[in-house]
Amino acid sequence: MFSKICRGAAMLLMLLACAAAILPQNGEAARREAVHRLNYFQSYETEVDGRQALRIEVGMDRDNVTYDVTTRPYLEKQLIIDLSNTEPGKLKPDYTLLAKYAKHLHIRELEARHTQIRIDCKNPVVDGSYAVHAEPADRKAKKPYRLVIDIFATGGTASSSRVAGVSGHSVVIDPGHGGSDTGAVGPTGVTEASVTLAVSKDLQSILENSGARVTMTRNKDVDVYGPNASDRQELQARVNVGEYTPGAELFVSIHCNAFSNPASHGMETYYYAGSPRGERIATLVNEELEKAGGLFNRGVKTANFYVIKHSSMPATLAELAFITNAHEEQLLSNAQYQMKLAEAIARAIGRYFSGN
Amino acid sequence: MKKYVRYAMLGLAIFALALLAGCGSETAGKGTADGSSSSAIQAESAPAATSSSQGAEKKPQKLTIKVYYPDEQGMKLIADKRTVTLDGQEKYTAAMESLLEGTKEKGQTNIIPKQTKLRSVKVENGTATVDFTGDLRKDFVGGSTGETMLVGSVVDTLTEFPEVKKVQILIDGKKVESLSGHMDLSQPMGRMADLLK
Repeated sequence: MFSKICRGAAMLLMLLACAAAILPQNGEAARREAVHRLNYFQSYETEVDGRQALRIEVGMDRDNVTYDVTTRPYLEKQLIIDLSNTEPGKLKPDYTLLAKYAKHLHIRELEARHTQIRIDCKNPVVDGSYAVHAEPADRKAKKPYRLVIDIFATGGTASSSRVAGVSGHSVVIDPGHGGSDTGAVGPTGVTEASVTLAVSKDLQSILENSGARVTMTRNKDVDVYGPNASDRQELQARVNVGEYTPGAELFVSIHCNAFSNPASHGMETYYYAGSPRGERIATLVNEELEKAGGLFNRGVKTANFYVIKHSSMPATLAELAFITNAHEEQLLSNAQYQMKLAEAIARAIGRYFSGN
Repeated sequence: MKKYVRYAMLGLAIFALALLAGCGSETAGKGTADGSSSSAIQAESAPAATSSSQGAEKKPQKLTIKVYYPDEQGMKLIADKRTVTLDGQEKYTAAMESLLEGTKEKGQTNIIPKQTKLRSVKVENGTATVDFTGDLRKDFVGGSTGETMLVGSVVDTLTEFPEVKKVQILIDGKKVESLSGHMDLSQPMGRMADLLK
């Protein structure tokens, strides 16, 4: 009996000690940033800028919430909103939505005070198919400060194109340059980094739409390693994205060419000498780009390029066209032409995996 | 007695001059005959001749070299045969300075930025280490083709000398990892023969 009391007392002491150790930190965190608690939920069909939409409002007890929107556009068709310093509060973990827009909405506290809202949409979640913004409290309407999520029935810039042969395969796409490095610049100022990103994103859409797994070395205008890195650090960081992606089968680097003579023009693809599979993908990409893009074919070449040399998987680097050539700069900056080239590269990847 | 000495000196000087002239013409002849690296070998014997004729006029050595410039499309490198005058400097330096002068030939393109200057060239154990000023990177147009052609023109001009097997490019004394984010330049590069076909 006495020992039980003793043990109980000891436990209590330990608990107290633990609490004492934790509490001051909690207090500090609270002072830095107050916790948001969700307390309001509503979803209804409405018209937003002339388009039919499902509007979801998620309210909370304080304003200025920090949130981050990500998407899983094709396979899962999910819109994900991460709320920092937020607790689910009064809201239910699951809501059923209007089926013609989205199936469910889930609210989970993934870590302490990190809450995630996940919406399973009906259509691909791409630029233009959804919108998220915060709105201040509206006393008249009895609405607190809230996030407003609009999901549109139609629209978005999704490419509906699909290619055969890529389903179940894993591809790494490397949009050349970016961030502190614009890459080459055309006569009217079009940057290589912006073109390579646009084409790579189109390519990602098509491949994912076709059932492939895609890993991007970058998906916005950033350095992959970080600003002011050395050339080797930056290029190795791109290689590493591929190396650290389990099951990645192919590395495709997208570039625009440049030369001091503005007359120089055309498309070419590269592989690292001694890689038969690198040669295969470089050849297929070359064939498809020639057919779709219609530019002068400079050939399939080998070169001592860092990303194709240091990738352990088959790799190719495609030079879509010369950004330093006025005519080709114009083509490269055209969204339809970018999509055409992306489709061509996707077809080449499909042929590579299906062996024809 | 003094007169004899003077005559003897004069004779020696004439002999030395004749030797030099012979050398020069031979160089030029061979250079045009097979067009390749023999000129470089010839040039090596030239400084020896100069030292033996120290007393006489220091006549600058003529040397035929090949410097490479890309074509207008950046598809290939084209050899530009030039005769340079070695004015005390090494032939590697002369070749690189000649390359940096640029080309005005029809069908050839300058790829190395104009302001670029040579800091040094050293050849050791078959590897030439060539050091340029930072201008090489500053106004460089970039691109896979731009980078390949620039590096190719330097590497192939230097490996034209048969004793040079590889070339390492430095900028302001530091090893270059890449010029515009395509090539891996951290290791010395061998002759880029596929650009010459």
